[in-house]
Amino acid sequence: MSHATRRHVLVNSAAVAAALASNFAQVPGVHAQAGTRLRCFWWGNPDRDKRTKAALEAYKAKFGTDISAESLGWGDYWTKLSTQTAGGNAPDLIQMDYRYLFEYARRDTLLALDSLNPKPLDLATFGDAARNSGKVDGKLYGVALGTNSKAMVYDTTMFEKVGVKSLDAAWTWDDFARIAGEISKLNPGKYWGSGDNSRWEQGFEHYLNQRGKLLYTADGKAGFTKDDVTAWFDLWDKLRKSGAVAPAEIGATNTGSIDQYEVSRGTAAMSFANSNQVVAFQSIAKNKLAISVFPNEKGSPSGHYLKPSMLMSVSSKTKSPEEAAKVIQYLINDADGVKALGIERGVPPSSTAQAQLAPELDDLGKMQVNYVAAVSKVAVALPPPPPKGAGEIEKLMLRVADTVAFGRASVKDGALQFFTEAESILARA
Amino acid sequence: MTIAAGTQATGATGRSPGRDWGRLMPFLFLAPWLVGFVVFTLGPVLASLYLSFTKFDLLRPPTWIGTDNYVRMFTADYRFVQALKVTFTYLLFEVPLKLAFALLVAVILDKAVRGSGFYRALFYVPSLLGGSVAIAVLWRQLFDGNGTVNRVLLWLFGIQGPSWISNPDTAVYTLVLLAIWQFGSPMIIFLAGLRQIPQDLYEAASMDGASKWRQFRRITLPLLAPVIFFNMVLQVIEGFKAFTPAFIISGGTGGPVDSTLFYTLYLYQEAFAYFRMGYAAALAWVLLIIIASFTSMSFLTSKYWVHYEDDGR
Repeated sequence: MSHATRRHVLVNSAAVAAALASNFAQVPGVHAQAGTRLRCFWWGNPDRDKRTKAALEAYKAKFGTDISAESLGWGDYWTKLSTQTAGGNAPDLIQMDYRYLFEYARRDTLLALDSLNPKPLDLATFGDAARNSGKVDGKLYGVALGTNSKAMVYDTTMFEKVGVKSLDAAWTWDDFARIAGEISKLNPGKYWGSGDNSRWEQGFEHYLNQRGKLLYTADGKAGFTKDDVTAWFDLWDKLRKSGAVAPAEIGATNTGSIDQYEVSRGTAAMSFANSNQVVAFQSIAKNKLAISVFPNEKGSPSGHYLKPSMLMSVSSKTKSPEEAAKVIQYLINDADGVKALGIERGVPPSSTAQAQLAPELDDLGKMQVNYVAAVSKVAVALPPPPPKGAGEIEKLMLRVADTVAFGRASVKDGALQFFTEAESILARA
Repeated sequence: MTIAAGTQATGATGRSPGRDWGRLMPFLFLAPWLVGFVVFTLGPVLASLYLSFTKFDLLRPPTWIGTDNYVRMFTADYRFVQALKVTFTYLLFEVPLKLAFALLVAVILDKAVRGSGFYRALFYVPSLLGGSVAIAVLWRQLFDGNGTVNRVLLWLFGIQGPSWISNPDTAVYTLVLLAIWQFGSPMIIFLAGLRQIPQDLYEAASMDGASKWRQFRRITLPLLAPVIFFNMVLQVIEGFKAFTPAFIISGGTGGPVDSTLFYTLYLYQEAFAYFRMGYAAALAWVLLIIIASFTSMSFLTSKYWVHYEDDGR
């Protein structure tokens, strides 16, 4: 003991400290919290936020991993995500859209999940189409959380008032014009048959799909001609002038958030949206809502395709890829996770998840499952991912369609403007 | 005394550590501000100047493209022209009307009415709230198709008004109205200015039989000119920077049909909706030049209409 030199003391205390540290590391709770704290980020609405948070809480209760949750509306979401990604501060779990998947994956901001499949992430219960919808250049970058298709959301009460009990899947644009026109007569100048869909870029895409064309080709060019745009604007211009469709002043106030659509605001009986959104619409609308395929020309393709409504991706910068994959596995395959999310993001692609959900479904849920099943029988192929600049063209469509609706430009001039500007945006991107 | 002599001695040599310390001291105390200025202001400003000559989408590193951004802006960008049009229309109405209204209220409140302190506070409230998101949302409700304004019109006159905010002809004027409503801060400055005017001038004028209007035109306005000028410069700069109301009321689009596409809103869209940081940086620099030239133009023309009391002329 007399040899307790300064050197001895130092060595001993270092050993004690190391022992203490290793002891701490062995306590499971401490390890999990210090080692793996994940961040999850999605766009959504209050209902989705509640469900997702519940699922993440349940995951924490089961596995002890703390997941901080963040969510924003669609528009702000991409702003924040790109800023965080550029700053090297991307969340571990990122809700991805098919529109942006390729851009993010090809810039190496997302993690290829192939090495984590089938363990811990098991996609065996996914159909081929759903599994491939998350692939970019042959590698898996996103896992679909739900499947949807575009759908026309309508107010059943108003339909019954004009004697329409149910809609036939083969209904035409003429049927649409007739029903909308009759509904507009119920409360003239206050309530219309349908919202103005000429502003919605995806509505235009659907119209092109019905004509056997694409909005964007696989090499990122415009898949339509000026005449297609003219026909699209003309279709809606006639409907607007006949009074079947709400006027420009109503259309221009639809900013694209759920509460701004015509069926939510009680200004029209039909709005064009996505099948999974009926859940959110119904939470606002007073009357009972239902969904239908879009009207069509007789004998044309349906134009509907099944789309991954939302994908879950993992950041390439994540410190715990295994843990992140486990969370996705929990959300798509574990009964608790699946039930917490429900059908709000669309019909889950996993067949086991569908079976787990089936007994729990309410009317809206059943309506969605039946709709997606019905659409899958007539669906056209999933189009190639939209090119860079597609987001800007989406806004261009809003602007030019409004210009036509307000009578600031003729159908022909509007179509020419849209076509030339879209071409120049694609060339510049 | 000895200490003072000591410092002087070291000061003479100029090389001792004590002297250097003394020189550094002020900078040390300035450091918190200095670091903040360099890191959070000067750095980003210089970075934005560099970015304005690049193509930068946040995900990939910026690439140098020379003056392409500026060339595009002045030759091929009709939305840039539209943004300028909207901003200037807004300024043309907003600045004079707001100043006139602020002056009017200030003149009324300047008279010692009972409870004028209360009214002064009350009229200032909109300026505190005005820039907020909540007020922009309220404005949306007021000027909507079946909003409050139209209901009042219908009830009073039986007129069915248009949807003010979703009509491209009227949308920008609802924003002008919103800005005028926030007349509080120029009003306070006018009030202070009115107090500076010697009361005996008014007494003398009324002795000579000058009417209130004449007194206002011949005494108040000329003596208040420096304050009016100051307020005008401030309001023009504020006007160029207006963003929140247009963003909320149009849902970030600048619509309908780009009728509320303020310059700042366009800049924001280019940066954060289309991820063209380089182009947005170039837009920001052009805005800086526009504001700077407007301000200097105001100062250059001011000598023809602004007279200072201590001015010899």
